[in-house]
Amino acid sequence: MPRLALNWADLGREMVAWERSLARGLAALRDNPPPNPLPGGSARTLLRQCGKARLFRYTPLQQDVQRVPTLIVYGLVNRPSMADLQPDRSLVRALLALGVDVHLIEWEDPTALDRQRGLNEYINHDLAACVDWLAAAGPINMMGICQGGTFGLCYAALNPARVRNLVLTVTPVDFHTPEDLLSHLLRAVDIERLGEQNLRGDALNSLFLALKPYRLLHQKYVGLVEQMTDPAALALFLRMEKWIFDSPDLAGLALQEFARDFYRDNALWRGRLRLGGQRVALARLTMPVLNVYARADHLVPPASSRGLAAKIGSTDYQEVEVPGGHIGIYVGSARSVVARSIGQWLAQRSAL
Amino acid sequence: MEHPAHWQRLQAEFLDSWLQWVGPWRELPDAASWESWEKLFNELTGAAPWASFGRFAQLLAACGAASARGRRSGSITPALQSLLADFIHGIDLALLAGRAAAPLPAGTQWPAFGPSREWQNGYAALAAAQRVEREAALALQLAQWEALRVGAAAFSASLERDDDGPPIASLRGLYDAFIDHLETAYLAQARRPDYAQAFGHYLNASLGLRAAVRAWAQRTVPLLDVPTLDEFVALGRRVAALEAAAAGPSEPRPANVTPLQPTRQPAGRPVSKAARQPAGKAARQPAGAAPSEPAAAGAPGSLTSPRRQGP
Repeated sequence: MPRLALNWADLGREMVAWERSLARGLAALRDNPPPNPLPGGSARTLLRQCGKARLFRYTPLQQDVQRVPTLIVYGLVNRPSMADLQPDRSLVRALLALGVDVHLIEWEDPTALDRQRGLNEYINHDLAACVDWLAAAGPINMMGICQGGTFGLCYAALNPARVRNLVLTVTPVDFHTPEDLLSHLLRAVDIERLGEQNLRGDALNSLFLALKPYRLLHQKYVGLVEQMTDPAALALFLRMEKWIFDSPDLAGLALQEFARDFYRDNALWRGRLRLGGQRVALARLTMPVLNVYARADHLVPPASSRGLAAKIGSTDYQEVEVPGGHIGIYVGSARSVVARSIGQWLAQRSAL
Repeated sequence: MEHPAHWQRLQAEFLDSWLQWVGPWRELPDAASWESWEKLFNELTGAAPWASFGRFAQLLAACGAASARGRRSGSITPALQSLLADFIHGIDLALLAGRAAAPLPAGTQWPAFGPSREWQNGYAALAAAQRVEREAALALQLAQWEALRVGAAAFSASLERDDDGPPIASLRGLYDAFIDHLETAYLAQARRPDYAQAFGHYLNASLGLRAAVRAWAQRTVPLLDVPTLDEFVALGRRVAALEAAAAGPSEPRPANVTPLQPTRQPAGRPVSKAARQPAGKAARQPAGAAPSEPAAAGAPGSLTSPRRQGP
């Protein structure tokens, strides 16, 4: 069978159908524009402000809530709304439904005053202050997302008595795996210059787009045309689009330190990372650890996350490989697998 | 092949849509804003991201029309390969033009003179940063075009190999296969050390240009009686210091924890009292059940730095 099983007539018909689909989609957008802003997100309450960290508690959905609170730690890149995009695409909501007592740290955007704000301030001051408050009655569960997982690793390694169980999702640990294109592209970047000023969020977006330019700048939008007349699909697309491009700026020093210590020097992996004068040793992670990674993750390759297994001191370590990409595991079809895996794992270790 | 009259225009638009892949969407508006989308659709229909697919289809349709007029056989493959050969030729021309482009003017190299010499120096620094950024951008773009060329050639070759992937039975499938080959070629190119060098050089040059623009603005805005960023930052630090002093000695160190009221009442049964309490206590109670007493503003064990250590 020839590779191209297509004739001119079929091609012409499909082309006309696509043009009509585009016209219908644009008309639908004109006549029924999606609400702005798009509603969504689970109910939550702001508990504390700790420096640049805002600590939220999500309203439980179950009568029986796990005794040990679970704190989701998000990174400085993008915003945590991705974990609670809309009711039917929400990792937070799924965890609440499983009885997890979900808390979240959301970082305030840095201003020009924060250019000298480093990882020590974010992790050892703000994150630590939130945990201190939350852990008044005992150690907590910590769940890190992407860079937030790396922050969680650092915090837990420095404060193992504070963290009862550690969950990591798509978390980079070894930053020098061969598949890591982002790490490769950053090799020639002048690290010292990165810290001269805050990095704009759109500059970071351009960096991420450069990892898959044709899929992210062309193909994705061709798929949108096929979804324009479906209000639900369109709303999801717009939410994702807003999340992707609504990146906060990054504090200059924190970015510089992350690029230097993690991406360039791979210091966490090599056991040479120091935060606030203290060495961050992964071997001090003796608490149970669940490591969730995405099979097709182009930002954090599976090998980068899985490298953790050989470095920690815990005897209760479990990995979950989930089909999908870096974001897909939170909003795609695999999200239920992720939530169930985390919820059950926590339930088994949060009883009493 | 006999081409219709508007062939060259279609071909040029198609080539341009791929060569400029980092173009129009760098200025992406707020995607959740309907107004911005409408504006985008109205103004950029010809440059919208899905236009590359439309042009892909239009070109193929034009090939089909030409084939019909020429009474040629109905196979799309040779027509598509002819199209891709033109496309690759266009990239080659762009690469040639880019490599042959004269270096941008280096600007004044001589020392500044006279009472405006500091302004001359400032402007020369800005112009130099602009030149470095443009040259770095061109070098990176050439590397990207090379990858585009490799991808297009690989796609063309794959059409002749029956065993190179599943059969393609739709226009969309054809487009997706094209994207697959472009991404594969791009990934191979991006993993090369020289591409990382070009990428890093461009990023460095962009940061340098931003710093130069900022320096120029710092020099310029005082002429308009507008405070500079440095002055705003100094003012902000002064305000922060005054706030810390006003908080008094009873405020624990570091003073980075502030008790707050809930921002919004969640739907359903209220949990506001629980919310004001360490969740270790609140979590022991079912949803909506208020704990017996609110937490103090500073919970035990909080607010000290460096953090207390585990065993």
